[in-house]
Amino acid sequence: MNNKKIVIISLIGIIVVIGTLYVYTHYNTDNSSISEGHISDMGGRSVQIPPQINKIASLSYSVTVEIYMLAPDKLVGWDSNRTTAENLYMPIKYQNLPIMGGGKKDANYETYLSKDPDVVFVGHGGSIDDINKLQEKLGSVPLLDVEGDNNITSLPESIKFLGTALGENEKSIELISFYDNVLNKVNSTSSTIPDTEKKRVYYARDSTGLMTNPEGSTHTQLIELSGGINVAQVPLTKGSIGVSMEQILDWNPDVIIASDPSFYNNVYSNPLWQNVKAVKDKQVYLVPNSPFNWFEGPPGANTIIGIPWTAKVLYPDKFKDIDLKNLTKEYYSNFYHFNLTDDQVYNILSSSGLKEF
Amino acid sequence: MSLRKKIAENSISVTFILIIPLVILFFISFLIGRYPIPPYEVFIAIVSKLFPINANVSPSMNTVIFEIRLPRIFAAMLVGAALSVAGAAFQGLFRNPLVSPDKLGVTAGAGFGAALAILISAGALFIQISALLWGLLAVTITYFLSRTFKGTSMLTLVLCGIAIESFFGALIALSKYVADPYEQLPTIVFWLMGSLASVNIQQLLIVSIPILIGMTILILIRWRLNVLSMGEEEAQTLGVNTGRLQAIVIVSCTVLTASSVSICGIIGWIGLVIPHVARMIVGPDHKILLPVSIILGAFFLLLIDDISRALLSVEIPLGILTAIIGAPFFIYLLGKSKEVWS
Repeated sequence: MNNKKIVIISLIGIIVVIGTLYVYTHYNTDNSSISEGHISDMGGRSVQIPPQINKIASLSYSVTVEIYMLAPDKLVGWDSNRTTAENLYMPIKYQNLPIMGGGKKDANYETYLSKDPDVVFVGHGGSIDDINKLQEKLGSVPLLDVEGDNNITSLPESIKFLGTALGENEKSIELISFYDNVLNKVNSTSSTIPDTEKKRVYYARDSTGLMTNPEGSTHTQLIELSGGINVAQVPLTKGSIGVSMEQILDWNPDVIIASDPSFYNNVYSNPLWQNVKAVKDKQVYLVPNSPFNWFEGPPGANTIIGIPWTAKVLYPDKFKDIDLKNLTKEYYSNFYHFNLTDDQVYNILSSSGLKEF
Repeated sequence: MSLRKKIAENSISVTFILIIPLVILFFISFLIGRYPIPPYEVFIAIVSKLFPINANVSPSMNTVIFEIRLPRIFAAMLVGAALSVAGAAFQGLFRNPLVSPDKLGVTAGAGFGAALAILISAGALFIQISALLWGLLAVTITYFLSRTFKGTSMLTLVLCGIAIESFFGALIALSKYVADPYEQLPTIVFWLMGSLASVNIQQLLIVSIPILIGMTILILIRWRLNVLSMGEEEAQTLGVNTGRLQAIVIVSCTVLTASSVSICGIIGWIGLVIPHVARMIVGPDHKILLPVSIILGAFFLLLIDDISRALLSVEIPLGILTAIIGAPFFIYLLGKSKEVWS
């Protein structure tokens, strides 16, 4: 009898302890604080990191971009391939960083470990279990989870966290204030545009232009942010979708934002697209893509400069007060570590289709 | 059975009767689509193209009817017919209802050709040509590979085909793996799922030539397929050069399939299901089986493509629809049909 009681009491005790630990580890999302070499990452895990961080690796593209912006010299490699076109406005020394083959599921962890990083980052969307599994593969190298790195509205949190973790607080504050500045500039005007006057926008992907991302996708956030309406309102999916030419004619967008140069170069001569309002009005624009995409591909801190660009694309008259030329220069030299000449800025902006900037 | 005999005897009239629904669907297809055009306007637009009457058709409507719907309608019929007739001829050639031209590696080869072209960011036309050439190349490899073995039989050919098919399947997977996940990968995946969304008149003309030639050849030699399907030895005693005939059929079917795949990606099931349906209606005689397969295939894919382009504001990939509709239909047929091979 007594034995039974002891067993039951101790069982209850164990359950309470485990339960408390579980709740503590799963609900302690008290964002990133460093104490005695421990940092709590954005997934709420408490991770021990070395006092000096000189080598950083990342498993996710959007986090790699943020690291490149804050601490390029500490980056040990790229997580995915970079093309010659993308490398146009990137210093040679960063172009030459090795490709490590990232992606959470198919990263080669040996490659990562061979670079001997002090810390590895993984981007948005993993569960605690997933991250712990990845941590096992990395052994003693601390893995930190970043959240919000792929969503224009939550970028500042992820930038702030990276600044804390990398000891680059000054740079992260600078980037966040640049972000706040362009966002407020655009928002103050775009929020006043009545629905009836909003431009209707189609985002054309790939060389056919018949693929897009619908409203509500993180890939097309800049459209809504700049006071546009994404014509693709499809309840079915948030990923890439295919649409028919007929559907585009029916939507008849005022503006087309294109990601593919070959589509952009052919659209004005392609007979099928001639009757789309955007083509008739010469309102097709090509997203700049070097060193990182301005609009999405994928979404992340690289689209901060896309906020004023998209605003200018949609409403050149309403956003006359934005000096995109200077913003671009400032952004490139401060965060992409590349000093653009006047000609280069002009080139980037005019080949995107903008008339005034 | 007696009904089927009657049908077989009246092959001409059966073919004629089956054409009627195809013609009706052909005209209805011009009225279907995401861009709203009243039927009357479609009628006026088409009539004004044929006769010099003064009609007030907006340029957008003209584009929709003649540049978007028309190429798609013809492409769907052409591809459906090509895949079906190739399937029927192959099933006869191998005397096996489960063989389709894919089995020699043509589809996987074409898929790899397209993926490769997408990887180097080529335009639509180049993707199509690359798919066509790689599809043909894959079967050529299969064919010559099987010729190197002694005692060549059709079985060896199919076995080599399966090997080549999986080899190119691996190459497709590899190209997906190295593709840029944000731009090229979705394009490759969409292409492989099959769609006629980006077909234009130019592409249609390019593939219509090989498809029409391939179909004509099969139609011209269709009675010899009957001899072949008795078995090789019997055919040889009847004085048919079986090796040459087999080669002609394989080349024609491969060209048909590669051309189809090159324009619209990978569309399964049609080459398998339609010949079965045709056989259920008219029996195993290739003289009538092939024309009926052509008509039914054109009808079926046209119907599927109408659903694909008009049901939702999103394009539904053809490969998905043909399998979702084709597979249950196929199983239903298996239940219905007693052996129709003899």
